[in-house]
Amino acid sequence: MTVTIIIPTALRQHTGDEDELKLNARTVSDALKELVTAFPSLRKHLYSEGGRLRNFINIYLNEEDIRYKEGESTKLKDGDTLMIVPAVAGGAHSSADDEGHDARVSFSSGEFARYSRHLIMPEVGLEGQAKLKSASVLIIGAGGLGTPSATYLAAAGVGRIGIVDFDVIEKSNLHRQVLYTESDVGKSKADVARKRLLEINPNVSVEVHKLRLDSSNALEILGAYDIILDGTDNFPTRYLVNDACVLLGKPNVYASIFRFEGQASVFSLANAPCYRCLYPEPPPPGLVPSCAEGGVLGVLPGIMGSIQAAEAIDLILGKGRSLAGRLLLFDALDMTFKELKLRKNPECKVCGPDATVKELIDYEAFCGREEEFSSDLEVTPRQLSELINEGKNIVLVDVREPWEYEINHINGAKLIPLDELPKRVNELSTADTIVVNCLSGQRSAQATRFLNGMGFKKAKNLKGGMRAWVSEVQPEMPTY
Amino acid sequence: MIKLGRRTLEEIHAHAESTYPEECCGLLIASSGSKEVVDSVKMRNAFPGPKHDRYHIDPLELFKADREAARRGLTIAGIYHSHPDYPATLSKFDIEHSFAWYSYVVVSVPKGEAGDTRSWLPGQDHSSVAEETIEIREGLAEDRGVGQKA
Repeated sequence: MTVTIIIPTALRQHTGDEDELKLNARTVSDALKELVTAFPSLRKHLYSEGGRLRNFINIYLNEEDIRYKEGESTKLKDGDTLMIVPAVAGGAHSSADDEGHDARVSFSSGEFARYSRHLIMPEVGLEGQAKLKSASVLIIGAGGLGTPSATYLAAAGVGRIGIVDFDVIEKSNLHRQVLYTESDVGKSKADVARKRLLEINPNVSVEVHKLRLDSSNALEILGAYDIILDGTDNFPTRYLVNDACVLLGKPNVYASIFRFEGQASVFSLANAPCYRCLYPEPPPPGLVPSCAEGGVLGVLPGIMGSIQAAEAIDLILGKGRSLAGRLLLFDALDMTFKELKLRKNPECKVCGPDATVKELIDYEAFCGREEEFSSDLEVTPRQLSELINEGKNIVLVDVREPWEYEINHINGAKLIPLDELPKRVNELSTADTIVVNCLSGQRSAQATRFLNGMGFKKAKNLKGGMRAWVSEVQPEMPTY
Repeated sequence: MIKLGRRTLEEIHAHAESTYPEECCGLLIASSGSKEVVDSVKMRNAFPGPKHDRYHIDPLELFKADREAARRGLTIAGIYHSHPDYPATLSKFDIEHSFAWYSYVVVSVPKGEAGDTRSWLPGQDHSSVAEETIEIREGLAEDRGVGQKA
């Protein structure tokens, strides 16, 4: 394939004063190799000593970054134009500069021993370990993703780790949040995480932020760290973290999990897409179930959180190829990793050239609050209990799955899993007062709306589901 | 040594003051194969976050400017940018992101007034840097048209 390659004018002196060259090549990699073979003095400008294309050199194929195609293995066709474009960036100063001064980083003999398996690898070495020690990472959410990532980052010697979490440890956290033990139930996640991380590695510092991250505090908190790890479990916080990272110019190492599937990427690096490029709008409230409602395989966040930790370490070391511009999809059932290429959305409202989001917004409103039921379409567990005790004729419909029903259910409840409801709706009568329940009230809300729309005007939702029923009415009942 | 015309220097200073307290950035255009700057081109600071201590030049905008220089038989010989309330030295971040084929002219802008202006030549290794003398050319010939091919 005959292609044209355009090199920056500043490099013209290496190519006999030519800045547009024609050559034959099948792939981008071939073309670049051909170029440096023909003009050997160009090599040191384009390739590092390790033979990799230098950092901050962009290759565009017909005005599109090859990172969003197939990288250097992108195939070429006749008439294609390849452009070598430096990514020019810089700036006066940042807190990272002060702390990143390698000369100020020193290690005790204990630390040399601790990090020896890092130190003997040329990709890390003393220089890399010093970078880790002077780096700071903020982990948002000390849950399924945050506990494994924090564990590995602390063990790896990342000097300053911040943890944002206002929650307390619950028993249902323990099947995946392996930093916590049975006796920690009821304690602050951030406090227990800090204690455990310092036990793992007393050479690092761990800062806790026991608060709800919102538009009023996010820039200040995130601004104090080099890298942000998103381990959130809800959309308002995820959009908040994305926008704050874009506004601050901080890399956002993202992962999310649901049931057996995980996603990971790195957003808001220079030239890379952000979360909003991928998902411009949040899903309608209630449509995407949380892990609390839909479940999650315990080991899944262990894998995805570890991927986040590995990405953060690569970014700190400045080594390898980051997940920026790629979405990694993991399936723990089929045991497969897949990769999607992500493109920067030119119309992105937060990182596009015509961005309209210049400051943080109200993310609860942006993601939409779930529509509330009017009081006559919803009953609380106490109200339901009273109605049952009064002997009122009430049809109870439980829309969970059979194995959930087996763990606990309200006496007399009829099991119709949500998916089966449309075809089994004829088992119900519009004349009856129907109370629909699920685990937390989310699935039953969908079912109640569906039934109301089908003419079941007396169908009501059990507010808070079985979780609320157990805590308010039948505390002796097992729950999950 | 990099040669700048007095007028080019004044234009760079005016640009640096106009964007204060944010960083400005731009290109130094020289006659081919030389460091005789004949023109400067203002670029948009495309950094997506706060711009008071960061700049970023959009690669496609840089490409277009480079093509325009090539069309005129000229070269982008360097990059200039400002350091609001910070010395005219290259920061660690600057050096890490540098290219050995450019001169980096930095203007310190204390309290909004352009001052100390220095030029730097980064090493190939992204960790070292050497200062480069700036020669200011005065007078009528100035920079416009000098070195320009017909």
